[in-house]
Amino acid sequence: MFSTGFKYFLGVTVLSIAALIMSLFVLDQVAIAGVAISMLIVVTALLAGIAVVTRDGQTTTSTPDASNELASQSMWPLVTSIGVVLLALGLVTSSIVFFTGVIVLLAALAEWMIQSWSERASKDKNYNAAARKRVLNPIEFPVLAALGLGVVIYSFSRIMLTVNKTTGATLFIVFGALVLIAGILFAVKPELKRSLVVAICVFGAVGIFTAGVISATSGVREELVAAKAESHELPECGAERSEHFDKEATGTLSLRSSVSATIELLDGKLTAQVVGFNKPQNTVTVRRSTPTSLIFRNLDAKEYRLVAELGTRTLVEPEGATEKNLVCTQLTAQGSEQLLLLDIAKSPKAGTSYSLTVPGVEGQSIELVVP
Amino acid sequence: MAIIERETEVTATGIDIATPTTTYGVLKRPVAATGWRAWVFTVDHKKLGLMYGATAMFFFIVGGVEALLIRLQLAAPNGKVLNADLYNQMFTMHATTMVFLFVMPMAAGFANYFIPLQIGARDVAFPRINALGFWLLLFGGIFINLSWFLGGAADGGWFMYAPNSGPVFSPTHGIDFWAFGLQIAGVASLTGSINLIVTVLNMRAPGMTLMKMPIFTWMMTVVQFLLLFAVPVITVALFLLSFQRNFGARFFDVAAGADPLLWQHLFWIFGHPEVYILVLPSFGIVSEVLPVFSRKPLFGYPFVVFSGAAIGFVGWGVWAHHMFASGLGPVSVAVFSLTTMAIAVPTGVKIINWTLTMWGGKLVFSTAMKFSIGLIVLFTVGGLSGVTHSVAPSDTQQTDTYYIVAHFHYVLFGGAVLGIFSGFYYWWPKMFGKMLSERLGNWNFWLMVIGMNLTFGPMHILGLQGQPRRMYQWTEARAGEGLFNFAFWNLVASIGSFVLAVGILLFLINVVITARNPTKSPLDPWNSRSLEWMTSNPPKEHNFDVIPTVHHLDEFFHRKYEEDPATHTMRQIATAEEVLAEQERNADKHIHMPSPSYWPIVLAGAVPIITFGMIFSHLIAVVGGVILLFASFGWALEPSTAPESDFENQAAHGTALDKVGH
Amino acid sequence: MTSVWIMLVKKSRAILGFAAISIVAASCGTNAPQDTWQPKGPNSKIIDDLQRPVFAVAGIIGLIVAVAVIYTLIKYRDRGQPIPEQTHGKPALEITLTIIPALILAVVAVFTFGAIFKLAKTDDTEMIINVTGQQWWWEYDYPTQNEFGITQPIISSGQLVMPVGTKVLLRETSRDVIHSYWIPALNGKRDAVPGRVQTLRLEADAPGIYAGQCTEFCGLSHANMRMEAVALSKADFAKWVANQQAAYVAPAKDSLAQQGEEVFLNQCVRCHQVNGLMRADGTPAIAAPDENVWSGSAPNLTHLMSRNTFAGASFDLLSKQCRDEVWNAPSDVVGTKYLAGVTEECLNQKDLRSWLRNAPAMLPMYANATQLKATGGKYRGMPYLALTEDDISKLVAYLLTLK
Repeated sequence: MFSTGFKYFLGVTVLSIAALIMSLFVLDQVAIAGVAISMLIVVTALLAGIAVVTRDGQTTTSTPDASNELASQSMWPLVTSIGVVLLALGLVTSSIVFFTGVIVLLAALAEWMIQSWSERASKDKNYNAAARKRVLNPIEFPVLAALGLGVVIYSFSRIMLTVNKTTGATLFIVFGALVLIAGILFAVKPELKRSLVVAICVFGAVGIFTAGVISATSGVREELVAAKAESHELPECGAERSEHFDKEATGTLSLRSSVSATIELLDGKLTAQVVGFNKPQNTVTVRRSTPTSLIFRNLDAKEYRLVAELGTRTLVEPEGATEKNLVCTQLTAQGSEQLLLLDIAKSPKAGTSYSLTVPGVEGQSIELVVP
Repeated sequence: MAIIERETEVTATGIDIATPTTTYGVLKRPVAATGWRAWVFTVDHKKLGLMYGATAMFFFIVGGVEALLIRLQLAAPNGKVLNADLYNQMFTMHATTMVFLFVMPMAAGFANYFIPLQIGARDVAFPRINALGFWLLLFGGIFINLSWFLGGAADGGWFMYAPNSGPVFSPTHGIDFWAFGLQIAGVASLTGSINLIVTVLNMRAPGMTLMKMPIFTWMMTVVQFLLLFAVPVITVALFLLSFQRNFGARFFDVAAGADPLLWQHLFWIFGHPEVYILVLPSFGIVSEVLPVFSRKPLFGYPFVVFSGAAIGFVGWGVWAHHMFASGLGPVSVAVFSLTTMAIAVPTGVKIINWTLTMWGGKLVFSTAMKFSIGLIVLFTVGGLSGVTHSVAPSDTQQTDTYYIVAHFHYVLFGGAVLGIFSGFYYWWPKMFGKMLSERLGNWNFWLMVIGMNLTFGPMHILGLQGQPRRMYQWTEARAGEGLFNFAFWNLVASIGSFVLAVGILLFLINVVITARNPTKSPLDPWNSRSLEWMTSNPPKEHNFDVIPTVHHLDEFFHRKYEEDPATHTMRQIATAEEVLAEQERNADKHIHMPSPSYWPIVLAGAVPIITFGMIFSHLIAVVGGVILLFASFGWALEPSTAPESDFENQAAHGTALDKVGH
Repeated sequence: MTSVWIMLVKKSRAILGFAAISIVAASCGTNAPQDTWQPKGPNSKIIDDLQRPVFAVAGIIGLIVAVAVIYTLIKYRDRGQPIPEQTHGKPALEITLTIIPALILAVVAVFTFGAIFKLAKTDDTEMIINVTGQQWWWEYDYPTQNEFGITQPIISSGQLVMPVGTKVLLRETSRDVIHSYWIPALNGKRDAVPGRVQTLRLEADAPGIYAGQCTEFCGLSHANMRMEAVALSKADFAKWVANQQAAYVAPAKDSLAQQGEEVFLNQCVRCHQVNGLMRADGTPAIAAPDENVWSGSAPNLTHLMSRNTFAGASFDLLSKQCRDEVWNAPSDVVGTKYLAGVTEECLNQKDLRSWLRNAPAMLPMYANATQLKATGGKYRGMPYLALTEDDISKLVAYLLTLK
C-alpha cells in the first residue's frame, strides 16, 4: 500500500510541518521562512498524494521487472541546467530572475522524475507514454494554457499602450471581431481540418506576440511616459504638478445626480446651484461630519480650480505652527466638471468662516455654512 | 527516485510487450449499491434529487422555526422573546434560508429527479458535477448556519444593503459566513444550471421536439437560464462585499467617493430574476398537475411556454422597482414602473390558461389538485398586490411596510410553496412507490391554506396602516385603536403562523405514516400524461428499459387513450401496466450508466474549509486549497465510467489501462 | 360536493381580503397614526387619488378570477362524464385575454407617470429643510431663509417643525447607513443615502402632529428610529423660529440647575452642543462628537424642552397625559399647546432619568466601550456614563432650563 516514495514524501512533509511550527516559535521574522516552508509542505504533500493515488511501487510477489531499455531522449537535463543558471544569475541580479529559476528548476525536476518513472513503468512503450500523460497532462495543460494566454494578453497590452487612444479602440474592435469570426468559423464548420485550425490559432498568437515585441521595444505612447513621471497624490492647491490629469472631465463623473450643489463659474461670476433651491445661491450648507459632494463646472475660457478654504490646521512640525486648510479640485478646462468631496467635522470658529473660491477670479466667493 | 517499483506481468506467449494489470490512476471506486455509501458517493440523478429534497425540507423546518420565533416576538407590543440583535439575525436568516436553502434546492431536487425522466433520458449530462452541486449546496447551507454558533449570524437583512453590511456596522463574522456560504451555494446553482441546460438541449428522447417537451421541463429550463445569468451577478456583488469586509476594499465607502446604491443595483439585478427562479418551478408543477386532474391538455401550451420565457426575459428589466424610494430620479422610476406593469401581463396569461385548462374538463379533486387550485387563487392575490406596487407613487407609501411582506408571501408561499406541496402529493408515488394519505393530505391542505391566509392576509392591513418591516418591536403608541389596530391583527398573524406550522407538521406525519405503510401505490395512480410515468415506481436505476420514441405532447396519455371519432371524447386503449410491459419486452441489452465517485464530496468538502480559512486564518485556507487541488487531480484522473469489474468487486488485480481511457 | 363548498368558503376569503382593503379606503376612524390612506397634504393626496382606483381595479380583477375559478370547479367537477376532447387552446381567445389586461395597465401607466413627475417637482419650493439621518435619530437644520424669519441656521432633532400650507422641500442625506424618511400622512418615503442629497416634498393642510418611522433597515434600533412632523400655523411657526433663535439663558446662580450645568460641561458637552454655553474660563463650550461618536454627530440640545421627544423621537419628553393632550388637540389649538414646550409638571421624569442613568439599557445601541474595535473606539449611540443619582437630578434640573 505505502511505497518507499510515499513514505519519503510523507516524512519530508511531517518534518517540514515540524520545522514550520518551530519557526513560528523561534524566529521573529516568520514571514519568508513560513511561506517557504508552507510551499514545501504543499509540494511534498501533493507528491505524497500522487504517490498514493497512482499506487506507485505497489509490489505483490515478483520483484519489479522494470524496463532495461535505453532511456529515450529528454530535454529535462537541459531545462534543469537552465534553471540552475537562472537561479545563480538571479542571486546577483534580480529576484524575478531568481524566482523564475526556482520555478523552472522545480518544474523540470518534477517532469524529469515522472518521465523517468514512466519510462521504466513497464515494457510497453505505449502504456508508458499514456501513463506519463495521465499523470502530467492535468497539470501541464492548464499551466501551459495559462502561460500561453498570459503571453498573448501581455503582448496585446503592450500594443494598446503604444498606439494612441483612437487606434487602440479600433484595434480592440478589429481583434474582437476577428476572434468572433474565427470562433464562428470553427463552430459552424466542425469538419474543418485540424491543421488549418491550428494554423489559424498559431498565426493569430504569433502575430500578436510579434506586434507585442515590436511595441514593447518602441516604448509606450508619449503621454503615458509623461504621466508616469508625475505624482498621483491628491492635488496640492499650488502649482499643478500634473500635466496629464483629465481636463476634459465631463462625462467621467459617476455621481452626477444627487450631489449637494453644483458650483458654476461663468463670465467671472461664481454661483451655486443648490439642489432644492430655485435661484442660484451664494451660500452652501455643508452638514457636520457628512460626506458632501460638490461639482465644480467651469464655463469660462481659462483653466480654473475650485478651492475650499476650511480655516487653519495645526501642524505637528514645527510645533504649534498652523497652515491654511485647503481642499481643491484639479484645474478644470472650459466646459468640464470636477468633483469636490468635503467632510467637515466642526463649525468654523466664532468670527471666521469657510468659503469656496476660485484662484484667479477676484472678489467671488461662496460661503460654506456648517451649522 | 523511488517511485518506479511497479508490478508488470510477462504474458505467457512470450511476446516481448507486457501490459500492467494493476488498477491505475484511480483510487478504488466506490461500489456499494446499498447503505450510506450508496448515497454519499452516488451520481444517480434520482438519489441526488431526493437528497436535494431532504436537505431543502430540513432547511424549510429551520427557516420555519425562525419564522415562528419572529411571529412570537411580534404577537404583542414590545415583544421580549428576542432582543434586537437576535431578531435582526432571525429575519435575515429566515429569508436567506427560505430563498437559498429551501425553495431553490427543492426546485433543484424536482428538476434533478424529473427532468431526465420527463425527457426520456437515463441521467443528466454531467453526473459527477451534479453530485458536486448537491454537496456544495449542503456544505454551503451548513456553513452559513455555523455562524449561529460562532459569534452570531448575519444581521443585515437578506438584501444586505451597503453600508450597513460593512465591518463597522456589523462587526461579527455573521455576514462573512453569509457571503461565503452563498458563494458556495452559488457554485452549486451555476453548475446545476449548466448541467440541466445541456441535458435538456442534448438528451431528449427521439421525437421530442422542444414544443413537445413537458411544461415542467420547459419552466425549469427557463429557470436554469435565469440562474446562469443571475448567479454571476450576485457572485460579483458578494465578492465586492467580502473584499470590503476582509481586505479593506472600499467599493461602498462614501468617504472614498463610492455610491452605496451600487450594491442595490447589483443585488436587485440578481434579486428580481431570483423571484422568478423561485416561482417558475412551481408554475411548472401546477401546469403538470392541472391537466392530469382535468383530464385535458394544458390550455394554450405554446402561450404558457412563451409567457414563461417572456417572464424570464422581462424579469431582467424590472429590478429597480425594489428601489423606488432610493432616489433614482423620476425618469428611471417611470421606466421601471412601466416594465413592472408589463411583466404582469405574461403572469396573467398563466392564470388565465390554468383556469381555462380546467374549463370543460373532468375535474378530480385530489390533494395535489387542491394545492394547485390554491396556488391559482392565492398567487393571483399576490400578483395583484404586486401590480399595485408597480404604481411607483403608491409604492413609496407601501414599500418596506408589512404590505410588501404580505405581497411576497402570497407570491412565494401562495405560489412557490403550494406548488411544491402539489408536486409532493403528485409525484410521491413516483419517487417512493407509495401514496401519501389523501385523508391527511386534505387536512394538510386546509390547515396550510387557512394558516397562510391568517398569517399573511392581516399583513396587508398592517402594512397599509403603516407598520414598517424589520422592526424587532412595535409600539402601542403607533398601533391605532379602530378595526385595523396593530394589536389584533398582529395577534391574528401570529396565531395563523402556528396554524400553518401545524399544517406542515401534518405533512411530515403523513410522510412518516406513508413510509411505515406497506401498501404499494398503483403504477399510474393519477392517470398521468408525461413520460416519467412510463416506468416503474420508483424508477429503475437506468430509468427506462428502452428509450421511448415520442410522437405527442403528453406521450404517455396518448399511448393509453385514443379519440373516439364520433364524440371526440377519449377512450382507453391500453393500461399503464400494458405500456410498461411493452417497454420491458423491448428492453435494451447494454445500458451504460455513470459510476459512483468519491471526488465530488471530497472536492465540495474542501471549499468550506477554504472559506473558513478566509475568515479565521489563511493557513486553514491553504489546507483547504491543497485538498481541493488533490480532489481535482483525483477527479481528472478518474474515468467517468468504471469498468464492470469494479462494480462486481473482482478487481483484485485491477483493470487494464485501455478500459480506463477517455 | 362538500369540497366544492369548502372551496367556495375559501374563495370568499380572498374576496373578503380585497373588500377589507376597500373598507380601509372608505371608512377610517381612529386608525393607526401611520395609516397610508389618510392624506393630510397635497402630495399624499396625489398618491391617494392614484392608489384608490388602482386598488379597486385590482380588487375587481381578483374577484373576477375567484368567481371564474369557483364556477369552473363547480361546473366541471367529475360527475362521471367521459374524458373530454384533447383541445390545445384557442389562440384568438388567448390573445384577447392578453390584450385586455395590457390595456388596463396602459391606462394605469398614464396616470402613474403623471403622479411620478408631479411628486418629483422641485421648482415650486417655498421652504427648505436639511434632514440628516444617523443611527438612530434625525437631525433637522433650517438654512437661513429670511422670509420665514430664519436669520441664522436652526438645528433641531426628533421633531420636524414646519409651517402649514407651505411647500417644504426636505434635502435628505445620511451620516452612516441608509435610512428612509417617511411621514405617511404627508408623502411617500424617500431614502436618506450617505453621499447623496435627495429631495422629498412635504406640505401639510392643517396644523397637527404627523407620525412617521424610519423604513430602511438601519441596524439595532431601527424599530425605535421614529420621527414626528409638527405642522404649525404660520404665526405659530414664526414664534417657534423666534424661540429657536433666542439667546442662551444661563441658569440662576446657586440653583440646582447651575450645578447641572457643571455636570453637563464635564460630561455631556463632549458630544452634545448647547449654543451659547460657556465654560468657567469664559470660552465657548464646543462639542466634539466627531471624536467620540462614529457618525460624528449628536443631537443639539440648545432648545431641548421645546421638543416633545428625546433620543431622536424614541422616547417622550412629555408625560403620557400631557402628550395625549397635545396629540389630540384640535388643529386650531395644537400650535399653542405645542409651543408651550415641556414644563416641570409635564416632564416624563421616569424615562429621562433612566436614559441618563443607563442609555444602552433602554435602547439597543453599540455603546459598549469594550466592543468598539471596528469603529476605533467610537460609540454608536449614547454610552453608559456612570452618573450618580445626584448628578442625574442636577442634569434634569438643568435640561429643564433649555426652553
